[in-house]
Amino acid sequence: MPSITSSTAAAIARARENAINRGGDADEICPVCKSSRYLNPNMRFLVNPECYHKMCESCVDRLFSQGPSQCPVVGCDKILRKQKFRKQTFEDIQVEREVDVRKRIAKTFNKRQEDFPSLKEFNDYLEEVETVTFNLLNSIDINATEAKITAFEQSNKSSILQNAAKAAQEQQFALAQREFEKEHHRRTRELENEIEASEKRERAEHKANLLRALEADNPDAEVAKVNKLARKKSSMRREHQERRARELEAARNAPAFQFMSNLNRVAEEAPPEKYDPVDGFDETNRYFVYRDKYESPWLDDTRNNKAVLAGGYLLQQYYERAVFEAFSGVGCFIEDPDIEGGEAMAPLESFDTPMIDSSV
Amino acid sequence: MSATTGPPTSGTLSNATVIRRTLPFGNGNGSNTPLSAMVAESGDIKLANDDSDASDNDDPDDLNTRTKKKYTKDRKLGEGAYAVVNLGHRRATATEPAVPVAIKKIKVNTEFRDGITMDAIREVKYLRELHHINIIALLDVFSSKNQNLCLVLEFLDSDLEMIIRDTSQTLSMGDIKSWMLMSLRGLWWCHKSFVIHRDIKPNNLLLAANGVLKLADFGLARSFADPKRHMTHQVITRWYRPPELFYGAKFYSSSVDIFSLGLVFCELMLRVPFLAGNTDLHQLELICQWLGTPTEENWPGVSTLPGYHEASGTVVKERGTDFFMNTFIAAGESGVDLLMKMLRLDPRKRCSAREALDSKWFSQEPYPTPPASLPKKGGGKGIEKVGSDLKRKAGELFNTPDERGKKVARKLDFGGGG
Repeated sequence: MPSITSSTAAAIARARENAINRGGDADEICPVCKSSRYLNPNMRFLVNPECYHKMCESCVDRLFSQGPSQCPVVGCDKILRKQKFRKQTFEDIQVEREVDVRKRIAKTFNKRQEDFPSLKEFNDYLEEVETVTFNLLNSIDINATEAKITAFEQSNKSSILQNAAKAAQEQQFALAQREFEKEHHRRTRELENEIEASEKRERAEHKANLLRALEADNPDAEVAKVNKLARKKSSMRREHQERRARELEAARNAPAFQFMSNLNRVAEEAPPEKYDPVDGFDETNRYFVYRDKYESPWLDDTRNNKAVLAGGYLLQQYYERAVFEAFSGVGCFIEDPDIEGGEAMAPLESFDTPMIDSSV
Repeated sequence: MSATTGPPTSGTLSNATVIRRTLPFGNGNGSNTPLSAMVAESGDIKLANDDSDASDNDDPDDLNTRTKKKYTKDRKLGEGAYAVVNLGHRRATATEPAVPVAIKKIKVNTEFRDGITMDAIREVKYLRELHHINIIALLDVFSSKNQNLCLVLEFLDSDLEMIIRDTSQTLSMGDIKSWMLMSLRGLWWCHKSFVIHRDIKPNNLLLAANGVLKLADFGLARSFADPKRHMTHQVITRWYRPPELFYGAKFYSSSVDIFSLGLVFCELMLRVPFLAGNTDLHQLELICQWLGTPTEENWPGVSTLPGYHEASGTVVKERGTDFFMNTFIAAGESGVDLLMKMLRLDPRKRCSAREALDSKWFSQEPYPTPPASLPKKGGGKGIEKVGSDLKRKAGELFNTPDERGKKVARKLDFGGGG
C-alpha cells in the first residue's frame, strides 16, 4: 500500500536525519550493551581519554556512577572515571586521540621561533617535539618519552609559563581587535545609512519647497532662494558627516590599539646612546683618593677577626666613609650661591641651605 | 661640598619633588647625625622653607601649620600596623599645579608610648638625605593635631610585585633589565650615601606613573655601622634574606641588599618567589639546596658566625654557571653572570651595586626598555577595558550571538595555552 510505504519511508528518513544530527549511523550499536540507535534514537556515545573505548551514555551511567571501575571492553584493564567521559569530536577515534595528545604536548612544548637563535635550532626543536608526539601516539618507549617530557617541563618552567601568558595575551588581543573591527564596521555602516537617509529627506524637502516656491507670486526669486537654502544645508550636512567619518577613522588608528605594539615591541627600539651605569653622575673625587688600607691599631682586631669578616663586613666601606666625611665640606662656601653642580640639581634645590657640619 | 655630591641630573623627577631641604645633606655627612640630634632638629624637619612664607616667622608651630596647609587629604589608600596612608594633594599655587602625594600618618601612641616608632625615625632620617630619581622622595613632614607625625611622600601607584603577579602580562628581558637597572641605581645611591636598605623586595620597589622605579620603605634602613658596632640580623623579609643573616652575623655590609636584589631578579624571570621558605630554617635549607651549602671552602670563616650550624643533609656544591644557565637561560650569558655575582654565598664575594651597574648585560641587546614604555599595572585589563568600553557603546545590535557562526569550528586549536 502506497500510504504505508510512504510513512515507512518518512520514518526511515526521520531516523536517518536524527542519526546524522547526532553524528552517527542509524544502525550504530553500543559495543557494551548492544542497544542500537534504531531502538534508542537519543543514544549518545562517549569516550574516555584513558583508552578511547566508545560506549553509550546509559552504559557510562550504569557502570561508573558508583565510582571508578574497569573498562567493560574485553582485554582493556584501564580504570575509568565517569568524570573524564566526554563526547567524541571526531568520528575516527585515532584522530580523537591524536588531537588530545597534541593538545597536551602543545601545552608543555610551547616555545616559539623567537626563542631560538636560528631557524635550524627551531626546526630541530620541532622535530624533537614531533618525535615525542609520535612516540606517545604509537606507544613507543612510553616511559622514556614521559621522562623526557617531565625533564623538559622542569627545566623550562619559567619559559613555559611565559609563553603561555604570551599566547593568552595574544588571544585576548585578537579578540579585542575583532570586537573593535566589528564595532568599527557597524559604525561606518550606521554613518552611511544616516547619510543616505538625510540626503533623501533633504531631497524630498527641497522638492516640496520648490513646489511651494513655484506656487508663489514671484516664482523665480523664490526658487532661487530655495535652491540657495538647499545648497547651504547640504554643504553643512556634508561637512558634519565628513567630520564624523574622520573621527571614526581616527578612533581606529588611535591609542586604543597602540597596545598591540606592546606585544612585539622588543626589536624596534633603537639602541640607546651609550650606556652610562650611573646616569650622568660625575664620580671623580676632586679632593681625595682612597687608599686600600689605613693603619690603625684600633682597627686591627676587626681586621683580623674572622667572624666579623665572614659576615661580610667591609672595612673598606668604613675607610671610604670616614675619608668622604672628612672632606665633604671642602669646596662648599656658604656665601656662594652658585656652587658647581647646583645647576644640574636645580629641581631639587638642595644647595639653598649650605652645609653645616652637624657631626661636629 | 665637592662637585661629586650632587645626585644625577634629575629632570624626570618632575615637579612632584620640589624639595626645600632644611637638613644638611652632606652625602653621608648627615647620615651619622646622632638620633638625638635628629629629634632635636625635629622642629627643623617640619619646616618646609617656602621662601614666600618663611619670611620672618620662625615659630615651629606656625611653620607646621603652614606646611600642613599646603596639602589636602583625600581618600584612604591603606592602613598598616603603624601607619595610615592617605592619598592627598599639594594645593595648587600661583605657579604650580596641584600634585598628588601620599600622606603617611604615623600612629604615635600605639606601641611606643615614649615616642615615635623606630621605623618612622629611620624613614625620615634617611629619606631626608637620599635624593635620587630611583628613590622615593620625602616632600615634607608635619605633625597633625594629635601630635601624629605625617610624612608627605611622592605618590606612586603601583609596585613591582603587582607586575610580577599579574601573569596576564609578559615581561620582556628588556623590561626586566630596565627594572633591574633602576633598582641597582637606587641601591647604588643608598650605598654610596652609606645607607643599607635592609628590606629589598618587590613590593618595596614602587613604580611611578611614568614607569620609573623607586626604592621605598626605609623603615629598616640604617647607615653603615662603625667597626665593633653590632647590627641586628633580624632584618629583611625572609624570602629575600641572605644566608649570613640566618647565621646571625652581627657585622655585615651593603652586600645583604645585593643578595635580596638578586632574588628579585630571579623572581622577575620566574614570576614566583625563587626561594619561598615557610620558616627561617626552611629558608636556609632552600638556600643550601638551590644556591649551595655554605662551607669553609666556599665561604672562609662561615663556621665562626654565631648561628652557624653544620648542614646535616647532603652538601650541595655552590652552584656554578651550568645550574644558573639552565634555570635562568632567558637572561643570557651576561645576565646569568650578573645574577651569579649577586647571589654568591660569601658576602665578600658578592659584587657591589656599582660593580653590578658595570655589567655588560646592561649595554647589550635587548636594551633596557625606556621607563615610559614599560608594562604598567593591569596592562591586560587595559585591553579588556577597551573591549568593554566598545561593547557598551555598541548597543544591542551585535550582542546577540551569531547563531549560525557559533556551530562552525573556526580552527582546530592544538594550543592548550588558552
